[in-house]
Amino acid sequence: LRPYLSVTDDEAVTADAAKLEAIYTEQGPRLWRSLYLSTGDREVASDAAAEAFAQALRRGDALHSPERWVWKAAFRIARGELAARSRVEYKVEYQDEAVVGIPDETLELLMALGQLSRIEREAVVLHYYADRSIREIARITGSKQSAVGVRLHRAKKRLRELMEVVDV
Amino acid sequence: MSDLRRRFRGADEIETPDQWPSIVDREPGEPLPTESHRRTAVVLFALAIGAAAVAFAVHTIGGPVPVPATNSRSVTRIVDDGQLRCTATIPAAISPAQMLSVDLDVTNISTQPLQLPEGATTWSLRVVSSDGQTYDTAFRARFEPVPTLVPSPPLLPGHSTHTRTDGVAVQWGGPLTIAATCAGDQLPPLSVPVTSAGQAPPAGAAIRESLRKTGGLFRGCSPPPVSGVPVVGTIAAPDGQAPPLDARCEADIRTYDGFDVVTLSVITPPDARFLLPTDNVDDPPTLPAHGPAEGVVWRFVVTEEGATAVGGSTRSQSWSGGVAPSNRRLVPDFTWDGTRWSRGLGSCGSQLLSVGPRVGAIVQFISACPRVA
Repeated sequence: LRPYLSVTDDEAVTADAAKLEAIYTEQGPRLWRSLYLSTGDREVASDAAAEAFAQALRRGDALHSPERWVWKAAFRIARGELAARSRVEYKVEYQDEAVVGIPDETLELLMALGQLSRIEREAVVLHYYADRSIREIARITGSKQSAVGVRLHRAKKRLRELMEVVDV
Repeated sequence: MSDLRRRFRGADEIETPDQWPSIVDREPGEPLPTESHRRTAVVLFALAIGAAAVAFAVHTIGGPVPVPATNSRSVTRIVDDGQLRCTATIPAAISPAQMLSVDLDVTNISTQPLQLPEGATTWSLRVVSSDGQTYDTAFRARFEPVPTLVPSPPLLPGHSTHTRTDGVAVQWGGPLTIAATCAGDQLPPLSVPVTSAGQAPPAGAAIRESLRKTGGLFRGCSPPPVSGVPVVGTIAAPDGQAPPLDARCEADIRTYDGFDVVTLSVITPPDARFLLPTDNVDDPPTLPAHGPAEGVVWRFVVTEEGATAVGGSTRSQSWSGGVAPSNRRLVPDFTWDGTRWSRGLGSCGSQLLSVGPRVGAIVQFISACPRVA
């Protein structure tokens, strides 16, 4: 635990709407799909992505790196949304509208992803789909790099086992 | 796993919504309208995966109820280099089937505000029964860890935060040894007796009483009222709209002072060999690596007053049939909420995972999936 400090970023740059829209155009779809693959829930993915960008817009020049901030915020919001859904079990549903037409081998991967824990899913999606480095994943998920490395290792091992299972 | 990136690349085909117009108009904190079309069909697959702390909340319909902590006992420990005081409080006594959780208070006893890191107020609860059975709520993190959404505000000097651990219904003979962790430090264990007013029902009566609370699921596969004796039969879909499951069913019983614990299980196919959970039935079974299979575990605490569902889990995997994604067959599942069955849909080739504790079972009728293309 550390004493609380309030930090001011003097080098903050303006994140005006045009700049943020450009980030959305370039990153939005990939962010949305990453959230969807991690949570299995279109609604959560949509809400988390929109909320993160909306908050970034309101923060304006307070954000030093809007792109980095949006990814981190979106994943945190998604976690919170899942946690707030009080129910006995989570039903991760990949609806037909979302996945019709995607390759079979990807479909099998999605099935296997559902068998991972959420933090493993986050790590593997961010690394292999969103092309994020371990350091970046640690930043986005608020974890240590060593923990991310372990999650990726476990996830790959588990996916290897599960790919056989889903191929029954 | 060099093909992971290639497989993921296919996800670029997933259509994404254009949200920018709504983002510009959106007030932060305002949820998006629910997508009206999203519940139209669940075609690809439905996974019921284990849940976050809140998601582990047990339905109260016919299930365990929280225990009022009128008489309590507590333990305190100073942690984090003398900056925090952690106090754990439990009821002084508890009854079978009642929910057990620990109230935890963290107080900043330093002279400066402290920013609690993520997880500092996330607690796990470890229960060890008198006969050595262990239930550790930390297993739930394997399925759905719950990191803090946003950093909590700094804890001011002299101020406290209050948390209650995930609960678990008492299903063991006492005294129970209960340990909680605070900011990474394990607190000294507390001991609590389990008290039951009456006599434990005879084993046969306890099994029959438990079966009576299963919504007729075991009608065609009713285990004999003897512990550990399996029977082979069929599990029929509650609405009759799916082929029955060939299954091996069994009841196991443990008797404690004043109550019984009955664990009902369904394994399909009947000759499948895999392990079902014993100590912690909320942790789902591990299935064989290949082929369709399903394991359902459902636990009841039975006193003189009747049976109460206290936990259970399900894991199933079905044949894909090799059909193209757009033509995948649907596989129904049924969930018992204590009073009725409700039907859900997944798709063949999927896996279903349900993590307890819960009062009802989930059964997927993988018999609806074709074995070949």
